[in-house]
Amino acid sequence: MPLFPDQASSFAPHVDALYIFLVCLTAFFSLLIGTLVVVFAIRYRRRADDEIPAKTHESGWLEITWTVIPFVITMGLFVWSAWVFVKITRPPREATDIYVTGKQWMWKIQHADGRLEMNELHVPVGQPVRLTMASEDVIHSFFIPAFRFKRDVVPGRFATAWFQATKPGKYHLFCAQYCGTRHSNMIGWVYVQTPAEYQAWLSGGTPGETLAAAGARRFVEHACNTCHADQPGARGPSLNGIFGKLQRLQGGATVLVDEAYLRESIVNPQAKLVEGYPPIMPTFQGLISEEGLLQLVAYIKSLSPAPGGAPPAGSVTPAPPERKAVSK
Amino acid sequence: MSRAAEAEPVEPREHYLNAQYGVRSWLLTQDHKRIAVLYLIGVTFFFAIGGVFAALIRMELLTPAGDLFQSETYNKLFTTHGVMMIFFFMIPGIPSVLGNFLIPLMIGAKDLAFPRINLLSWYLYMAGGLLALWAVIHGGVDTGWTFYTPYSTVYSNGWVVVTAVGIFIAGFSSILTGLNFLVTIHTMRAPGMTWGRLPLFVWGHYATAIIQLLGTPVIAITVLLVGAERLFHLGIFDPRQGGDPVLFQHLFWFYSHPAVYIMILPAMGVISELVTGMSRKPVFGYKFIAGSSVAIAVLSFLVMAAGVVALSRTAPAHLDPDEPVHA
Repeated sequence: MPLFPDQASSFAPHVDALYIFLVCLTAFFSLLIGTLVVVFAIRYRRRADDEIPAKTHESGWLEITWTVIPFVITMGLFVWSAWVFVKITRPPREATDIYVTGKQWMWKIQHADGRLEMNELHVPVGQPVRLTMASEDVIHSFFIPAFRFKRDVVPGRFATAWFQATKPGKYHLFCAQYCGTRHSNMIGWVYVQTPAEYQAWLSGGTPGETLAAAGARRFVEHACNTCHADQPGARGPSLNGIFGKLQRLQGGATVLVDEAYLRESIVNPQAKLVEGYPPIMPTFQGLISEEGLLQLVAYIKSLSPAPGGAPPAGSVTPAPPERKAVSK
Repeated sequence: MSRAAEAEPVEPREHYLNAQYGVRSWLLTQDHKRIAVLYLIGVTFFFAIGGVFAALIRMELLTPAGDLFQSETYNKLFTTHGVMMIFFFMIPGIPSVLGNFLIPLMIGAKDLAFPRINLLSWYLYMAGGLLALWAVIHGGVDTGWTFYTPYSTVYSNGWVVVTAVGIFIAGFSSILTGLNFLVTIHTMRAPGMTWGRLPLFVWGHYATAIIQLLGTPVIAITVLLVGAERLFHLGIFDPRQGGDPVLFQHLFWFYSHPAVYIMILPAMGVISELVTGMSRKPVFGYKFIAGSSVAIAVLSFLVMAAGVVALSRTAPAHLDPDEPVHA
């Protein structure tokens, strides 16, 4: 049995370094204090029955020393772990989008090209992957130990997170948030493949319609297109090119158009009204499944291929026409 | 303490154990020492139950397959273990037994400030614990001791409401005990027992009582809301009705993180007294320990976010210096 799971993602070494440092730090002080307890107990033991030891009430410099040292250590740890946290939570813009739906008790994965997987996730090695995750029922948590990757998936909102696999192989996927009777069986596998293998996997099987195409179909099915018609005088705002940009709202506030905002605007349209449009949109709460919401979001994202937002959801290896120089 | 007293302990002819006899004299007592003994019995009882369930969990885990229990039963076992150990053993453990017994003695008071309320708090504790136990006997509950929504409010099939009411009732026991300690320590110290001379055991309980008084109402209301949402579909925590499951977690950890210090502060008080007593020396750094006990109580209300860390969302793109927003 290996003590540690494989280190198979770009931030696994950072998480491990922090973890090992914490363990060593704790072990050091535990041993130090434990040893001193024993040494002092022997050295200062009661040697006569009527012995009354000298009274020592306090010592300013000693108490300040053992307060300041832990303070400095913990503040250092805080800065270090905050640095790792920011690194982990900030997806690079060129990441491949994959959509995850959790439900009792399985993971359903949708790739941009329309491929579906159950409790399995195929990803290419060396490429950043961004997950947009939703839950159909209760809280789940998407956990890949080898990636040091764990993110709660709360129903009613999207969870987004990213990773970059660094080592081809087959790794466990768990649900890390207790979610009911068969929670302990909610287990899957992550396959990290070389680019060649991954391409072969992508081209195998029948991909069906792409996510964006499925979203476009739903867009018409739910009659979204009757109002969001992208023409002057339409009853709803145009959705072309809005993703990743700031949207002006009623009352002058602005909001960044991201997955969370799009989702909210579908299930709770009155929450944030776009400037200049009346509050006439009905709620689609309960009318569209989480998978459907992800497809709609993928479609709306695909309407914004410009460099402002995410890459077009229709293609797997996006090549935006014009890419800004991004220092990474 | 002089050596003579240590060698020949002088026992008073009449004390709390032999002043009266009979079940009635115990169940209607207002003597803080007797109530402490009642608590000792109750706490030991629920500790034993929690321990039995822990043993069952470990036995099942001897093999990976569900040889002894299937998933459903196993989930009920660890829920019961958690509920019993947290709410009916660890939280009342030291304050209700040792605190009840020793605080009046240590500050030179005849009893706690409100002896009847003290007895009431024991009855509330037992009622809450027995109600939770009733739920276990009638089929149990499988939410985990944290009762996360919407699993607890919509999807779980167990006796969630009954267990929640049990915790709600026991919560009042904790609130009343904390209130009793605070009032007693403030108003009933003997002449000369200044704040600067208060034993560290009492300081530890003073800090604990602050958390009990300020934190417990929040958990009581939260579990009641879970019960109400389950029964009446209020939509507070259910996202399909516009509710927020994370709201539950914030409310829950507002109490349950400070509750960690309800468990540890009295124990720190105990060890401070034991070490000083056994080594025949005054405690080192008295002011620091007393002050840090209260500081822990205050700061404990600021650390609840530790309970929800795995929810952490992606840093918004507009906070990212590398990602210019094209407005």
